[in-house]
Amino acid sequence: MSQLLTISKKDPHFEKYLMGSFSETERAIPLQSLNVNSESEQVTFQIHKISEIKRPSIFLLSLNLFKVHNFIWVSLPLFLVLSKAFIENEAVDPLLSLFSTLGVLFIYSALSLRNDFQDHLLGRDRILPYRRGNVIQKGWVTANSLKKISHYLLVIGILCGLPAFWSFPLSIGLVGLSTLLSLLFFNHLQGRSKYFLFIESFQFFLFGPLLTLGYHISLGIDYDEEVLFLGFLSGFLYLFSVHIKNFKHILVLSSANFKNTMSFFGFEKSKLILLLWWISFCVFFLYYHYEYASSFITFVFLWYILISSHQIYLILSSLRSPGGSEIIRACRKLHYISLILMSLWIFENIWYILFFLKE
Amino acid sequence: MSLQMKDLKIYDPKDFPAYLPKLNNLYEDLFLGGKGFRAKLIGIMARSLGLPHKTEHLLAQTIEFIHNASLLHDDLVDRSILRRGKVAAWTKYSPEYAVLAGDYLLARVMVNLSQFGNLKLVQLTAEVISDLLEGEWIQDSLVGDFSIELSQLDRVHHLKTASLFKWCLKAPFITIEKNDNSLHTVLEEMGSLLGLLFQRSDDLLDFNIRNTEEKAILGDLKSGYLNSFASFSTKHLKEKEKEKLKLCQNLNDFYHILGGESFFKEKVEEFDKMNGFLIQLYHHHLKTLDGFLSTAEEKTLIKQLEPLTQILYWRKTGS
Repeated sequence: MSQLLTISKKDPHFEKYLMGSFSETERAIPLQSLNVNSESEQVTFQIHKISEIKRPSIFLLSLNLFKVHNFIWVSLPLFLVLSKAFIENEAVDPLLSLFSTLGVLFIYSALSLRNDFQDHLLGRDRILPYRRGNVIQKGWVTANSLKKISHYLLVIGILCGLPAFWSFPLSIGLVGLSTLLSLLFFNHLQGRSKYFLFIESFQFFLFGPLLTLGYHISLGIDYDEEVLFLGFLSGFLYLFSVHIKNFKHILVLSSANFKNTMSFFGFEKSKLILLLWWISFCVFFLYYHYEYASSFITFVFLWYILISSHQIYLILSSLRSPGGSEIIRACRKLHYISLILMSLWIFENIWYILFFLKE
Repeated sequence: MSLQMKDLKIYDPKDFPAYLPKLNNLYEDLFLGGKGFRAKLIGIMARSLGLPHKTEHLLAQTIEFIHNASLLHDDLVDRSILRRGKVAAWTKYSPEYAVLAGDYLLARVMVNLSQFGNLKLVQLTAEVISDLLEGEWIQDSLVGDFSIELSQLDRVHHLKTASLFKWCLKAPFITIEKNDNSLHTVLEEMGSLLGLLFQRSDDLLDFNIRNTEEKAILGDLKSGYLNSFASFSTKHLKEKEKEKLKLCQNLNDFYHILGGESFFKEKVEEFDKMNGFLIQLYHHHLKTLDGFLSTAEEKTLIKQLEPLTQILYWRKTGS
């Protein structure tokens, strides 16, 4: 039988309950709070005995913990860089590339868990519907454990990066330092919504140029403008997905005073921003293909982009309310449109690889 | 609850200019049909906190004015023909008069409160009116949306129904200058829960559950609005099946789309269980509220507020 306990944010024991470190035998699950992200926030916890909480299998727990579906945002740039290296017959040490890949994946897993931890501290998981089913809210893992796991993953990621650092100390050192500073800044600014532009810019770099260039260099290949361009595109597309997610929850996030580009501009202007963002991305994407890919491929993408842009325009212009099921359906469609483009991009590269192998 | 609507004289023709044509008739129709529950809640608070009668009257009048102003506007926005068993004001008089009459009630609220002179009370009231309007704006955009989720509806209900209950709990404390942040946070949580429970219970009436008031069946559904129970119980249906809800004329049609009457009853039980947890949460906050009350008279408030969930959700008649 669970108990209820309400604690103010100002209470000295508040953090212990939020982090889950208040007891060895009990777990405090924060319930939905209406005054989240305010000075006067009070959180009501439901206290359960750990023995009463149904833990899932390790496999299911891992799937939920690491949100495997989000790995596409890291995997895509890595795949594009790796396939480019392969197609251009760059001399890449397989062991080095394996360690570098694992290093990136571990570091980004650590980032993802750290993000969940931050969301829990700030209260986003108490107000956002898709967050309410996360591993902390289900009582499977405490916030404290999540923080520890993210630290371990970060250390493992750095260790995996050591061979690359040993081989190219200056360039990897520079990339590593930039990444570390970005992460520190990002972490520091996370709780301060008014710096949302900086936060989103860091996200662009972390999932874009910093990722592709850093990985490219760790493979032992010299700086390449095309890789920078790839990074720009992947970062741009990643931010598009962030904007879609924030737009979907614009009502909740605005009410709770969580600032981001979507809540800053409001419902009507955000529709325009999303459309323009997509069109801008498509222009850069087509230019990239014009410069570096075949005309045929560029032509195929052009058709997809024209059709999808028109679709996005129709979806957004018919959207009436930030509060109903329409916006969920609209955002789902936008998400699928960008996923299809990513799939085509991956397929394009696989086609190049197969073509190269045939040659 | 000792006070009756007629005792409070929530509506008095003397408050409104007699030279404005039809205004007093419009208000007569509107106010005399109401249960005045929110005014009664003010009465409970006032008695326990020892508020002067004049203050109690002002608060009761304020909340009933705001509530009825929202009803005048709501009926026009929803194009509802009936209100409290009578022809809605916008139909009987005109849409223009209904809007202006609602605006006038809100203006009277501001005049009365500014004369009272408590700035925090004015601030709270302005926030509630703003929330009501925001809720109404969003709700209007949800008409015809048969795939709306319960969590999305709750947001609207927090802005509309719950904000009035929050006001009823907070305003009396503000008038006696008890403005502690932690106290008001607890009152807000309690008000939110009461408002949500009240709304969900009202939504069940639409499906003839505990419908002692004999409210019209499926009124919300026929108006193109999926209420909280409808959203909860139809969550499992595919979009195409949900579209059929628009054609429901009676409960049997609804049972058929849902998957049978026994499935419907299971869903009612699940819904009640879910709200049972909210009731548990409300009683938990009530215990916290006890810690903020200092005198023996104030502490009688806890006993007075205890049965509210029974009255509001389970529709059991209170004293």
